Amino acid sequence: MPLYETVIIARQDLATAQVDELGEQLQNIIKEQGGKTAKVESWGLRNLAYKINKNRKGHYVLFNFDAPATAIHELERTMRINEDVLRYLTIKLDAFEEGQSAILRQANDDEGGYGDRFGGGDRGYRARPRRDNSDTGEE
Amino acid sequence: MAFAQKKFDRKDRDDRSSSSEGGEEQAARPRRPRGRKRCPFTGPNAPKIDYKDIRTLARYLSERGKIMPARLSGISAKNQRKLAIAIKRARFLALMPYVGDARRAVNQNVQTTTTAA
Repeated sequence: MPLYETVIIARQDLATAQVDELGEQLQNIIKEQGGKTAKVESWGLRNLAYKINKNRKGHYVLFNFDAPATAIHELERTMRINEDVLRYLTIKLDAFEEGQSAILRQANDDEGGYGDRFGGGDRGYRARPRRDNSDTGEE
Repeated sequence: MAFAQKKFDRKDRDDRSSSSEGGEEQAARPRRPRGRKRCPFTGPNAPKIDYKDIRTLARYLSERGKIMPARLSGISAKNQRKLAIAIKRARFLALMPYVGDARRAVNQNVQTTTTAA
């Protein structure tokens, strides 16, 4: 069976628990179709580089799995129906990546030293998403 | 990379000014850097081209978010094709913008992940 990697973006106003639930649901589909999940990575709530369906942020989840092509069809069909999934990307891999993916590695790198490097600019960046949240109204 | 771009801009401008002024400063025209640049994705320690590695990808985008031509970055044709695909995947997943400052967007993302953690 070929190896695949799928990244999904879930709506920003889902709770973390709901995102986990969604991840479980998708993993079940893979299992039902006779596939095996090798890795699930949650990248957390990230800023989107541009708005998608009026969302400025999204929960990113990555799956690495080994499954027949029918599993991909079912998985993508389900995600198209599910409105909590803003976007998904599935690619075929030659080999799974070991350890964390680049996104998480880079996030970890920054936790140590980002204070000195970005110092002042930090506040300016942070102010923006907050204002946008109040625009969207809900909650 | 940014400095390489600037060099080219300046050369363009010099070309234009010298043609209009009648070639007074032609002697001072900057030359192309000698020797071919090495492809940064070739070799044993080269990073893999990966759409998730947005910090590496951002290096090969202009301020506006355009993909930099291989002649400026020195990337081999084969790797330039891979890079282009990786950047387009990253754009699709809203990891980097189709239009706008990619480097700022990448840093912004880093900050949210740190605040969230």
